[in-house]
Amino acid sequence: MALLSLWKKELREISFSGLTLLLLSAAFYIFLYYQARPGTIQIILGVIYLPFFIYPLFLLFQGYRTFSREWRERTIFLLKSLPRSGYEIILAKFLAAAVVLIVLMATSSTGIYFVISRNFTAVNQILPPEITALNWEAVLGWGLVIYFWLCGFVYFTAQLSSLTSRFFNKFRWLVTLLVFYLVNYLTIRLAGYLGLLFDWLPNVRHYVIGQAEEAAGLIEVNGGGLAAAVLILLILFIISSLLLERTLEV
Amino acid sequence: MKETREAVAETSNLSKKYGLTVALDGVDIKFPQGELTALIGPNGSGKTTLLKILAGLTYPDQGRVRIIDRAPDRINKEKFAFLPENDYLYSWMKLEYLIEFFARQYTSFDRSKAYQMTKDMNLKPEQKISDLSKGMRARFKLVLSLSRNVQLYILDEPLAGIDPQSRSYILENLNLEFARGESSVILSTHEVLESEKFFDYVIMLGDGKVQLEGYADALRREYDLSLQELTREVFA
Repeated sequence: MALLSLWKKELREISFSGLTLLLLSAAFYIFLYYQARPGTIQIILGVIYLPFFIYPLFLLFQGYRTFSREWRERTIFLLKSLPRSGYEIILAKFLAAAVVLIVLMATSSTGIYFVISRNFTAVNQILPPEITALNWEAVLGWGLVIYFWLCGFVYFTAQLSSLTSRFFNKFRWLVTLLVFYLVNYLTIRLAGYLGLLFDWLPNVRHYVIGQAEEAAGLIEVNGGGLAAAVLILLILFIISSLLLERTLEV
Repeated sequence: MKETREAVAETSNLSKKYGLTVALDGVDIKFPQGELTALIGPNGSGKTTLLKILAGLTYPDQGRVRIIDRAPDRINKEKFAFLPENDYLYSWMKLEYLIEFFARQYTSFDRSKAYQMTKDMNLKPEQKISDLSKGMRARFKLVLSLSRNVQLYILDEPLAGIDPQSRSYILENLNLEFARGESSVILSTHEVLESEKFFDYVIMLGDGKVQLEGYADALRREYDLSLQELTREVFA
């Protein structure tokens, strides 16, 4: 109940920016829906995924802002006075952002579906046959998993950078940028080592064209890389939680 | 002037620096159980730092803190209520939302008591925090803290910015609360004149050190001065 109440509070805090982005996305797809004609379909296909490039920026902004606003408005006193662990607070914040992201992704996916459906014949004509023959469930499934991971990574990295900058009274922006850069660099190095460490894990295979008659029709996700990606998020989550609960002062 | 007593909270050799500024310098205090302890001192004397360390919001550079028999942590945050000096409430929340939020976060929170105190303080549950004046917000902060049934209340300048009528209501309430002897209060204040009759134990803090400490009646008898006059003497 306590975590749920904390999550609701966080959801309410980001609801304005989330709702604004949701309305903008919906307006964008309504615009594309009415503008899509055989003559414009190539341009439409070129911009149809544009919101998916905006959402990680939204997560980046939320990750940074979520604690900087608590400190600026002094509400961190309330948050740190609660009998909640750092893990619970960070999780509540992340789950609120994740829910908004899922709603945004669902809105965009619905928008894309309607725009493509309305011009299905024209789309089929301009796309190469090897693409239209794809097993889209597997491609989209993995695409969304990787996209969600990327958004989570951006969110936790921005949050950790913002929290680390709280150790300093001056140049917080600079510290945030430096930590953000450094975490990205270290993550790439660490992911390489973790990938090797978990190399024994089986790879995940998906045949995306028929039954793998040719190598190009195979998606093979490295099991070690997958484990490394999950661990990286977990490590960022744990570091932020510990910083918040045991080290950072208000 | 120290006397043997059971402590609800204690610090030993507590030191804290902010850059070159010494906020606390080897502070040893035992806050007596079941008493209303006043922490008195001028601005920058270290009162807020001491209370934040007790509440687990700031960490000492050196020394030890025990509050209700353990170091301040997530578990004993349920056993004490901390009221910070500054505005710490979410401005978009309504009073009733905050009451419900606190009720879900703290098992020690008494929802009906909170609504009753809100009414007694001339506040409306449907009001938003951002619509309240400074004094009204200060009153509501107190409502949230005093509505918890805990062993210890740590109140940092709870009377600052509150009108005289509400101040007397608050002080009377605090007095009633502690007449039962079940809870303890640590209260930092500048309003010595008005509230000194409620103090059981007094700690005067200056330059990060304890300047004077003792039971209020004993101090009055020993120095033949009121606490207000004694405060002026100590910090002159």
